[in-house]
Amino acid sequence: MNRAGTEADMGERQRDGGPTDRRSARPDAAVLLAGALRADRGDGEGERRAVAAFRAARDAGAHRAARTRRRDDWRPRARRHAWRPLRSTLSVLLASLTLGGVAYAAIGAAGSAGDGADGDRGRPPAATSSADRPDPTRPSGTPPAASARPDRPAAAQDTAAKCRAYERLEGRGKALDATAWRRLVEEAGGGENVAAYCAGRTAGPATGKEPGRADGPGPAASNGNPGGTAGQGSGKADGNGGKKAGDGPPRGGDK
Amino acid sequence: MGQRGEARRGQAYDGELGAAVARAQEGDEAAFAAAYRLVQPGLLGYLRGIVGDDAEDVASDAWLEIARDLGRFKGDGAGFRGWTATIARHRALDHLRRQKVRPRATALEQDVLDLPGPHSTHDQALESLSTQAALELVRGLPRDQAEAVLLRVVVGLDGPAAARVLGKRPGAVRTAAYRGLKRLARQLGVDTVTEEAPRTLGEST
Repeated sequence: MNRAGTEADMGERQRDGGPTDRRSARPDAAVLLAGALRADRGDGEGERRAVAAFRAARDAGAHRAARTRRRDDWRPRARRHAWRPLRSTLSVLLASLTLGGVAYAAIGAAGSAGDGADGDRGRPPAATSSADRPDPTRPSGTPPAASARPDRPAAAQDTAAKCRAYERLEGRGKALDATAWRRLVEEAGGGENVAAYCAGRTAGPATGKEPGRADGPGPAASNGNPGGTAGQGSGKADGNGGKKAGDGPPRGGDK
Repeated sequence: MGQRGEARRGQAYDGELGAAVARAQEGDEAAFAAAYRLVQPGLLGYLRGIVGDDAEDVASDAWLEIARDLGRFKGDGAGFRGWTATIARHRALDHLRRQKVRPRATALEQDVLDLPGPHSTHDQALESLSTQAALELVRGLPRDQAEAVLLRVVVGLDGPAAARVLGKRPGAVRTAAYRGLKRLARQLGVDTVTEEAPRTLGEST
């Protein structure tokens, strides 16, 4: 094959053939250069200086104390990088385990939250049911208020809202037939007692006899007035109390 | 690629060099001297290609650093060539920065080449190419090509090691070395890569 020689050809020839082979081949720029530039008779003086520096460093302990920096590590690539794949494999494994654990924990948390909401409705996390539950069981409404803090303002607002609506509607319409009103009546202990019961509720904040309730009726009073008319039918009058009252009917109906 | 034979020539001493370096790291002064004698010719040739007549001084500075930091080095004989070449290169670049010395412009072929024609044998050409002429040729190359050629051919590093010394990718260094050698070959009138190149008698491939 008579193609033009390339450097690769030269390399192949030098690699595969021995010195005799190379000798018979064409002159080679690399060989020429190496021969011309490497042909150096050491001058002795440089060597003496280098060895003196070596001796000084050795005697000073510099060689022992020296730390190998990255640029000083010229170990063969295979050995130097042999553990790199292992290291990266371990890193990936660790990362996937971490992410998997996070994902598993997230799934577990979501699942347990769902179970709690569905299976145990009486639990505090169900905010909407907390206000309803104590009302039928505790006519006075105060004991649950003492036990669970979130219930207290909610229940107080609920009762106060109902009482305000009662005052407004007293003697008119069929609003009192609604489940919410029936429960208000139950709480009061009878239809005739509602007025007195509600008087106690609404007067409470004004007199300040129960400090714990002071917060509850305050905002409820402001909410109640504009919403009072809307509350006639569905009981959705107030921000909080109305909503809970609205939840009431289906539950009351179940009972 | 073409320099691999040269690299191997340098590597022929690498076993001996590696043993000498290991003993020197244990504190053996004679072993350090032996390592010096094995490394210095290539190192000096490389430095001549970069800094010219100041190569001896730069090499001396480099060896002071090599002698001081020998305890830090880890590797075998080939690694020691690369490590020392890196140190020498840093010293050379420092020197160039200080001196503002730049490699001279392209050498004129007729001035530096008093060579036989392309039909000359290897031995004749080798005898004919003086160190000075070779240096002029190398320093006529672009800097990256000159360094790549010197590291591969004169210091005897393999491709990855040369690339590490230069802080470049192996592919870039391989290309630079190839182009540099091609150009040198053309200037030398030996082993040219053009189709018109007269074939030598030994060419039978």
